[in-house]
This record gives sequence, C-alpha cells and structure tokens, in this order.
Amino acid sequence: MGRYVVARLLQGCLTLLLVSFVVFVLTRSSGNPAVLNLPATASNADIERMTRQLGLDRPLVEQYGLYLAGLARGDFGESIRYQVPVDELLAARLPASLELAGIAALVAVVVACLLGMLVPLTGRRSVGAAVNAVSLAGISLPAFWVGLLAIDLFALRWEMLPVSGSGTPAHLVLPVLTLTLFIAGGMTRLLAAGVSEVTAGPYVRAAHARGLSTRRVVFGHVLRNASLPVVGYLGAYLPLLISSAVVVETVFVWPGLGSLAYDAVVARDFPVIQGVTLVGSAIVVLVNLGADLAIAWLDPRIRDGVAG
Amino acid sequence: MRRPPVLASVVVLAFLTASAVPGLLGLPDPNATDLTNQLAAPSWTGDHPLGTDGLGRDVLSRIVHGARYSCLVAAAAVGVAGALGVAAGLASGFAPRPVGAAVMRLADAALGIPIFLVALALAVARGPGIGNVVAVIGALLWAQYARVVSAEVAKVRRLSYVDASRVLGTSTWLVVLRHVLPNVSPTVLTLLASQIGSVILLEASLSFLGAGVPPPAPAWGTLVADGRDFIGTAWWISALPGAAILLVVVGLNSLADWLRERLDPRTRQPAPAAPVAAAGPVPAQDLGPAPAAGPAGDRDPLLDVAGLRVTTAGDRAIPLVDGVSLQVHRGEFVGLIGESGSGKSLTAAAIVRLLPQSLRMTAGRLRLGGSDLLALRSAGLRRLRGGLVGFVFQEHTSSLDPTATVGSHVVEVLTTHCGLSRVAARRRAVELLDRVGIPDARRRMSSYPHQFSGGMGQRVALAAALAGEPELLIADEPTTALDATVQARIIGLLAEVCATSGLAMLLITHDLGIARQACDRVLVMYAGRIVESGRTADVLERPASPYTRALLQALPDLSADRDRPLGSIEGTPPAPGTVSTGCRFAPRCPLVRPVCRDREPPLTGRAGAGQLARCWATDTGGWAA
Repeated sequence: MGRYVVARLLQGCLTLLLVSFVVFVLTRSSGNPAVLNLPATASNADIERMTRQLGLDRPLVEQYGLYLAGLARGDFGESIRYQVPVDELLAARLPASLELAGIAALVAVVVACLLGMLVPLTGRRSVGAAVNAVSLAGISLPAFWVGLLAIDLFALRWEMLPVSGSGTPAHLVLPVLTLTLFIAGGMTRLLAAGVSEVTAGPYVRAAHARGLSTRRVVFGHVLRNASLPVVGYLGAYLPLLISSAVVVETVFVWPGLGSLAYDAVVARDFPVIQGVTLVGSAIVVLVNLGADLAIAWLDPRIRDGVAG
Repeated sequence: MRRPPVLASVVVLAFLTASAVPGLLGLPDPNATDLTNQLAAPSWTGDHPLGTDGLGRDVLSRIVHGARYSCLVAAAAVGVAGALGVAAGLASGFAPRPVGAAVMRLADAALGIPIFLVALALAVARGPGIGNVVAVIGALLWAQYARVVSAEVAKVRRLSYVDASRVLGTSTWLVVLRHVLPNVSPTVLTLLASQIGSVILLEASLSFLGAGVPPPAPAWGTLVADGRDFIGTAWWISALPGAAILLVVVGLNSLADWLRERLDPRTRQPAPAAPVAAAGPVPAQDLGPAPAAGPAGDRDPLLDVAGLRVTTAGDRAIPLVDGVSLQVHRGEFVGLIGESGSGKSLTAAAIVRLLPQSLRMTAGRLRLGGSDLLALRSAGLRRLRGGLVGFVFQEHTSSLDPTATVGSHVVEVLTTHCGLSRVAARRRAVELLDRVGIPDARRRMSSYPHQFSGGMGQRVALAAALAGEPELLIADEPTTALDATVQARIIGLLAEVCATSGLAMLLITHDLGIARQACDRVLVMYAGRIVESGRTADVLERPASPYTRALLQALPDLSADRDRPLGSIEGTPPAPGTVSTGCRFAPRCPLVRPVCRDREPPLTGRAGAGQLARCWATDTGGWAA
C-alpha cells in the first residue's frame, strides 16, 4: 500500500513537471518572454531589465532550472493587471473555487447515485431509458449557455436569485446547479454503465439466490462495485470538468480561480494564467491521487496488488 | 440492441452540411452589420427569422456559418490526437520494453494535464487562434488513444496467431497492419466518436472566453458570448447558438453510444438477471408424465416440479427447458446430469424463479416444502431463496462479491433469514465457517474472496448457503472449476454436511463420476428434456437410453483397457429452436430407427425400480435393445 502511494505521488510529480515544461515552452515560443511579463506600454529599457531578471541571457537548460526553482518558491511573477505577486492572487481566489466545485461535486455524487440506482431498484427498462436521456443531456449541455439562460430566467425575469457575485447562500444556487448538471451527467452515465454490468454479473445473481432483498443487493453489493469505474474515470474526466468550472465562474462572476483565468485572458496577463494553470494541475494531481486511494479502499484486490 | 438513432443522424448530417456548404440556404453575409436593424426579434415573416444581434447581423446566418468552425476544430483536433495516440500506442506495444514503458508513463502524466487551462495560457501567450486550439486539444488528448491502443496491442500480442506469424518471419509492420489494426479499430472508433462531442464543447467554451476561434469568425462559443450583454433584453442572441451546440453534441453523443453498443460484443449478451421472472399458467399437455414413485412410503416430496418450461421471450419462444418434471425427497441426493447447454442449470435457476429477464418460464406444478412457488410473490420467494433452498454455484470468484469480506456474505444471510443481530450473526458465521472446514475461521472472517483458493472459496459459499438453515441444497457444478483432488474433497464435504443435517441435495453436474459418488438418484438431460431417470446404480450400470450409454463411454475409466480409445459422442446437440417431431438425440444416435425421426418417444418404465427412459429402440415393450 505504501509503495502504491509513493508510486502515485511520483506519477503526479511527473505530471506537474510536464505541465511546467509545457508552460515553459509556451513562454519561449512567443518571441521574447520578457514581453509576456510586462504591460504593453513597457519601454525597451523595461524589457531589457526584465530579460536580465528572468535570466534570459543564460543557456536554455539553466533557464528552465531557474524557472522551476522559482515555481518551487511559489514565485509565479507579478500580475500585469493587478500589480501584485501572483501567488497572493491565487491564495485569495482558491477558497472560492474549492467551495463552488466542492459543493457541486457533492450534490452531483448524490444525484448520480440516486439516478444510477433507480434502474436496478425499479427493474424497469423505461426508467433506464429516461436516466440515459437525462444524463446524456447533462454531458451535452454547454455550461456557459446554461448559466446565461439561468440568469435570464431565474435572476432577471423572475427575480428569484441574484444575477452574479458571491456572499450569501442564494448566490451559490445558480452556479452550483449549472456545474452540477454537467458533473452529474457524466457520473450518472458511468455509474449506470457500471450498474448494468455488475447486475448482470454472477455474484449479484448469487446474492439474489441467497434471498437478499433487492435494496440490500443494490446498496450492499451493486453500488460499491459499480462506483469503481466512476472513480477510475475521474482522472480522464477532470480536464473537462475544469473547463465547465472556469466558464461557470466567469458567467456568474464567482471570485475564484476560473474568473481570474478569464480576467487574465482578457488582459493578456501571462503570469496570472501561468499560475492558474500550475495550481489547476496540482489540484488535478491531488484529486487523481485521492481517486486512486479511494479505489484501493473500495477494491481489496487493488490493495493486495492483484489485478482487478 | 437499440435502434439506430435516426433523429441524431439527421441532426449531425445537417450540421455537416452546414459546415461544408454554409451558403446553401442563400443566407446573408454572417458578418454584414446593419446598424438600422439592431436587436431585431426573431420573426418568420421578416428578413431575419432568428433575429439580429447587437450589430444587426443575422443570427441564423451566423449559426449556420459557425458550424464550420466547430466541425473544423473537432475534426482536426481529434484527428491529430488519434494519429499521435495510435502511433504512440503501437510503438509502446512493439518497441523494446523500456521505450514502451516510457511512452506509457508519459501518456499517464499527460492524462493529468488540465487541457483547458493550457489552452487558455497558450491563447494569452500567442493570441487566440484556431491553430492553438487544435494543437492543444490534439497534443493533450492523444494519451487516451495511446492507452487504449497499447492495451489492445498487449492483448493481441498474447494471441497465438500473432506470435505464430512473427515466428514465420513476417515483419513487425506487417503484423501490425494485418492483426493489430483491425482489432484495435473498433475501440479507437468508439473513442473517436465519443470524444468529438466533448471537443466541440471545449472549443465552444474557449471561444466563449475569447481564447478560441478569434472574432469576427462566427464560432458558436463567440456567438453566445456576443449575447451576454443582452440577456434579459434580447435572449435569442445567445440562447439560439447555444441550442445549436446542445443539439449537435447530443446528436454526436447518441451516435457514439449507438456505435459503442454495436461494436462492443459484451452488450450483445442477454439482459441482466432479474430477481423475479414471470410465471404464467401452463397448458395441460406440458404437464409431462405422472411423477415417478420416490423412496418407499414418501408420497410428499420436498421439491416437486412438473412440466417446467423455460423459453426465450419474444414472438419466437425458443424452448430451452421443455417439460421437465422432477422430485427431490427429504434427505435425498439427486443428480441432474447433462452436457453444457442441456438446460440443467436453467432448470435449477427456474426452481427458485431466478432467471434472466430475457427468459420466460411456465410450469404445471412447482412446489417446495409445501408452498406453491408459482403463487408466491417476491417477498415470499426471497424468504425461500437462501432460507428453504441454499445455492452453491460453480466458482466462488463468481458467487462472492469481490469487494465484501467472506464473513459478511455469511452474516447477511443470517441477519436476513434468521433474524439474528449482527453480533450474534458474526458468532454464528464463525461456527459455520468452522463447520465447513475453514481453518482459523475467526480470523478469516475479514479476508476477501480473492485471498481464498478455489476449494476454500467453495467452502465459504457452502457456509453462506447453509446459514439460512435450508432443507434443500442446490449445487450447480460446484466442483467444475477445481483441481481433481480438491473436487473429491468438496463433494465429500457437501455429502457429509447434507447427510448430518438431513438436507436434500440437487447436484447439477456434467461429471458422471461425481454423480456416482454422491447421488441416490440421477436424471439425465438432453436438449432441454429428461431422457432418463432412476436410481444411480440402475442408470449408470444398466443405462436404457443411448445418450446415457454414450456419456458413460466418454468417461475415462482407470480399470479399463488403456489401448481402447476413449469414446466420444459424434456430432453436437441440436441448436435451441431446431424444430423436430422426433427424438432429439436421433441425429447422433447409433441405434436410430425410422420411427425415431418421426415421433418423440415418451418416458417409459425400464428394468430398474422407478427407472424411466425416453427411447424407442430400447423400449422392451416395442423394440429389442
């Protein structure tokens, strides 16, 4: 188990290194990277100073080393737009993002479990078709569009909820709902697929043959086994989820990393978008690690190193 | 199998047409501004059926022309990712080990990169552009293909014909072309189809944020963003392009679902098992022969089945079990023998009405321990399953939940059927595991099924079957998956446990040796029919049906002359649904006569006490053997 965690951590570090490398290549691919770190109005003298400050006169390998060392110290540079160190901006915006995404994920898990369990509990094909249609719509909805429609209807037309911003629970409702639609759609699809595979399996038949009630079979045996692929696919699914989170934050002007990223795109604020990308990657790595540990907890065969 | 999604195909086709020839509808220039006609509402009679935006541009025209960008980006990005990924996957499968491992490590690491944020960073570094979007999505999605392809290559490589062709000196690339690519392509195609929808969403999100296709190109994400300032006043500007995205992505995803189902052999299997299958009234002619007398004096059998029929659902109800009647008396061990596909396992499942949803059953009589199973509803059936009847299946790996401890399997039966508290149930479970010969039972309670050997696992399954204190144990090929030495021990244990607790046993097996070792009586099944039944000694020493004889000849016998070739039965059993009025064994039977092909013989009495057989040729009343 310990070796497993260490291996996963190393894998995560490799991912982070890869991301830093990609971002590093990006900065060097667009001419003089010093320009990216300065406002458009910067003078030639400013650019020269920045060139020396970033060590751009040294060999490339050394530059990458310096760059990594800076990142390790939390030095992402200074925001062009806000004129403050990027790490301070990130630290200020991270909690709001975690709040929104965390609540949405929680709601989504509950919704997905309820929908996924409906089919085996009722045993009806029509229910399966309905769940399939709803979850298909969920993953096909453009989150930014749903957000705008929600604002149009619930905030502007019916004036039930605030248009945007944060601070009260009412502010959470629309962004959470919009984000949940997407997350729950994907989760439900994976869970429903897992459920139909597990319920067709021999040990579920054996559990029925032991006279257990359908509810007991579903919650005691089907749910745990069917959730394995859901957790397993989380890693592949996360990049898509981030795109939804960013647009939802942007649409609702939620003060998180996503809207910070949008500001950075509009203001062409490279140091900020670089910081958001790296923090986002770190979050992905941590979530993937968590997912791997969850699988090991759910499936004793993985814990023992037996192929599942 | 679901129907092809016609509606989805129409939507996707319309989308493709719009992206190929957007000028088809004779729409105005999507970028022509008309400041006298800003924010015109949709109207079918006016010049702008879907209205105009803040600059007076025609919304319908912009949506139709916008299809091109979604299509272009999606096709290019998925193409790049697919090509890169397939190449990397093939390389990792065929290249020397360290290279392959390194490629896969890289793929795993790439899967964890948040594509969307990198795309945003690229847009900031170099300005928005279609090339950026394609490059980023393509460069980061390849890993999924690489993973799938390399797994498939590993699978294909294990197939012996690939090795064989390598041994024959075929070059690696020819092997790839001939064997790997055809095997990989369904998986890759499915992945491709399911990714296009998400890539369109990714591109639209990027364009919405101003980091995708740069304006003034009317990409759909840009169109929605254009309307952002007008929500509440001019809903159509962002609502309609968004609806277009939704339609196309739903269409693509349903097509992908359909494709996956078509290409995945697993989804072609019958529907999952349902806890309760329907039982209906039975026509009188299906009742079969009158029950044969059991052991002397016992007129009230524990299990009494008459005229059991199991058919496939649907218009063409193909019979799989056809008019089976059998009795098991208290304390009796009965063997149900037959080849795979003879319907013996279905018979056992039908007894407790546990059939796949795709099958239907009917029976004239189905009684167990005095209750009528045909009249029972699901709650009553549940009390019976695991309560009155214990089941042991073929392999413990398939009858025990891999994520639950072995102890919990026994405990849940005890709490369900015996009303024990969890603490009492755990105590009793330890006793039961100990009873079936699990050493150190208390400690092993918290072990998992995969930590048990086949024999030990079957002991656990037996303990779970015994927990509900049943009167009948149905063992369905309980030792087939075990080593020969363990087989004998498990059969011995089954017999010993049943004998000491006075349980009756219905043992389903294809192995005559096991039946001979354990059973008082046997029934032989062929193609859904009972062809012979009687006391074990009678049936196996003096078989009256040519099928039983053939089975016996196919049994290796240590005392027989080893130079004599082992018998095997010529031909194969008839496929279910084959229509025949005659004896079902006739095409393979060495004793076949003309009458056999015309009329099916009834079960008639034979030499042994209560021995019945279904054969014209050996029926002493008609023909000499």
